[in-house]
Amino acid sequence: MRILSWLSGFAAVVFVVSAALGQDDLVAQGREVYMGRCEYCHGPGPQKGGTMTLQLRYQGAVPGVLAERTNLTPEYIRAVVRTATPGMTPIRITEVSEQDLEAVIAYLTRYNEP
Amino acid sequence: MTIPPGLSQSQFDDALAEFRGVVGNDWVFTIEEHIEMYRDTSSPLTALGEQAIPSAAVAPENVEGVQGVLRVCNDYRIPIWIISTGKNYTYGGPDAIVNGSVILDLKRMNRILEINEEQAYALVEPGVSQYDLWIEIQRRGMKLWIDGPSPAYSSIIANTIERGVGYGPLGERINAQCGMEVVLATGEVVRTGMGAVANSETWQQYKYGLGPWVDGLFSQTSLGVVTKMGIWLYPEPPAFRSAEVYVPNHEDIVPMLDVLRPLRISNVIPNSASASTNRGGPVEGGFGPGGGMPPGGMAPGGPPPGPPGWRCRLGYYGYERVVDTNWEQTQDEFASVIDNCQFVSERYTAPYNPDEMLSESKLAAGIPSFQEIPLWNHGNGWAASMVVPFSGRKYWEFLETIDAFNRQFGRRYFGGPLHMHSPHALIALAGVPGSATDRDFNERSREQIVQLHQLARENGWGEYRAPLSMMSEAMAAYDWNDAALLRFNERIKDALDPNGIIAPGKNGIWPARMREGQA
Repeated sequence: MRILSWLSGFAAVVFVVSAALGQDDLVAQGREVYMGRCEYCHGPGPQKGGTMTLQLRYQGAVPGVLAERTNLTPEYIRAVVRTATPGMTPIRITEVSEQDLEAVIAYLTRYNEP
Repeated sequence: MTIPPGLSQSQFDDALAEFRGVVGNDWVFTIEEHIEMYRDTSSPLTALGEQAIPSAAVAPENVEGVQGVLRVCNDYRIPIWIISTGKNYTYGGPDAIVNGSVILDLKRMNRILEINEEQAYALVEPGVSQYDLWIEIQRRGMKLWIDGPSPAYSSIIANTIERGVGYGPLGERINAQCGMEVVLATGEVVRTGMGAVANSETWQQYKYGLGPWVDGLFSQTSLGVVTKMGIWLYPEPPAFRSAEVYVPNHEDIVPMLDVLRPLRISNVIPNSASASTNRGGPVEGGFGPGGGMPPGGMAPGGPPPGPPGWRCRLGYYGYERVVDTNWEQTQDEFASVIDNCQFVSERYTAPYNPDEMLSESKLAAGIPSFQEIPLWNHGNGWAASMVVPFSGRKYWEFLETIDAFNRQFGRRYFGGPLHMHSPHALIALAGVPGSATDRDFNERSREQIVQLHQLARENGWGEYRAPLSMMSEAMAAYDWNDAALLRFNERIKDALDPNGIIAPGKNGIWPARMREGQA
């Protein structure tokens, strides 16, 4: 329910941001935010805690590197970022703004099947 | 919706409108989804139904915003709790003590105001994390190292003024602090040290200025909001050696500490050395009842499997010959008194490539490593981080005393982790596990941790830093001369924060209007 309320609450934000930037720009912005705020834990290579955890959890069924995933939904990304999950504490709006989160979502879902 | 104590809903609505006038509509958070993000997800109080719920969070962008928020809090007598990045896990995360407090979130104040390579310092705002500063130094290509805790998403200012730990040569973080700007509870802005000289160029170079050195008042503080702070950095050394010493037996911690002490005090070992029992520590376990061992190696039953000895992590910095000589001398000192020590070491030389460094080595070189994040099970327990004499015999007494105490509760204590960032003392972690959901479990654990505080007090062990829900119990150990220090702190609190708005109850210091009924 919480995820749903988040979504409805921020649908307007998504629309405005997408319209203003264009999808390619949004993905580029999302990549920049991702590189600054997510990549140090979720990037490729050794000693990345998030990647190590996801490799263990999914045993190769999906890539351990988030940016290589094609099955992440906007709802799921939002929920993981904003609410507590094992190994990851909530990331507040003062850390990653709503607009930046929408851009990260656009980046992480860029290869998803439509 | 939770509202601050003593306010009516309409008064609080008026206060919220004033907060919005100060910081803008977007930076006052009141809906449940937002408030949830300002709650400690590893609090032992959650299962007990006693976790304080914030009434709102307010995030100013600059000093004027902080002043404006404090003015509103003074007008309405709203208690406020300060967070910078809110990552003070194990000690309370972003949580306040008083239910209905407003969280003052400083994360938006995230400017790196200066990095001076020649003089090796930075001037930062509270929202700047270890990682933010490190990556900016790399971007500018400066030959400077930072220092700090693992993981690196915590605030430089908050970790430093909470007197936290780093693992490199500047590991006693509060010693690397130089110059502050503070917004007092009443809204005046003060700069300390040489910052009080209007045209000074030495604010981040000389700490003390003239007259009483007041910076300490703003560490572990409830007297003001630190909005800028100087932090000393370490010039990139030509060589760096990361090393570990393993000793095979549980009892070997006694000679191990006696070998480490003179090396540490004389700075032959210049980094914030740490030691832990192989029987577990926070990295292996956490504070949870079922999630491995809690910190301090307190297995719930008998001893866990695995080698029973200890290891310590060391770092050496400087010219190649110096780091080699000091490491060889360290090995000789250990081998002369402890049989079957094992030594592991890696030497790196500039330019350093973080991708080729072990995670443990990165910590001692102040390079952010995020390998350990998922291993940090913060659990829902209570930590007790005691200041103990740096002596093998004294530490063994501590360990045996706490183990005997724990046995009464069906638990064990095998000791560790130990921090030697302050070179003349040991910081020894103990604690009890907790549950996220089991009220009875946490009731029993709380009974144990309260009694542990009494035991510590009887033995003269005080805490260097206390978890949120044990702050008054921790301060109770500081009882010399009928708790003269606490009364002194209360007088300062009442003078500087007459309405008692900033972080009431922090470290057991309550403002006059809330002291009634407090132990």
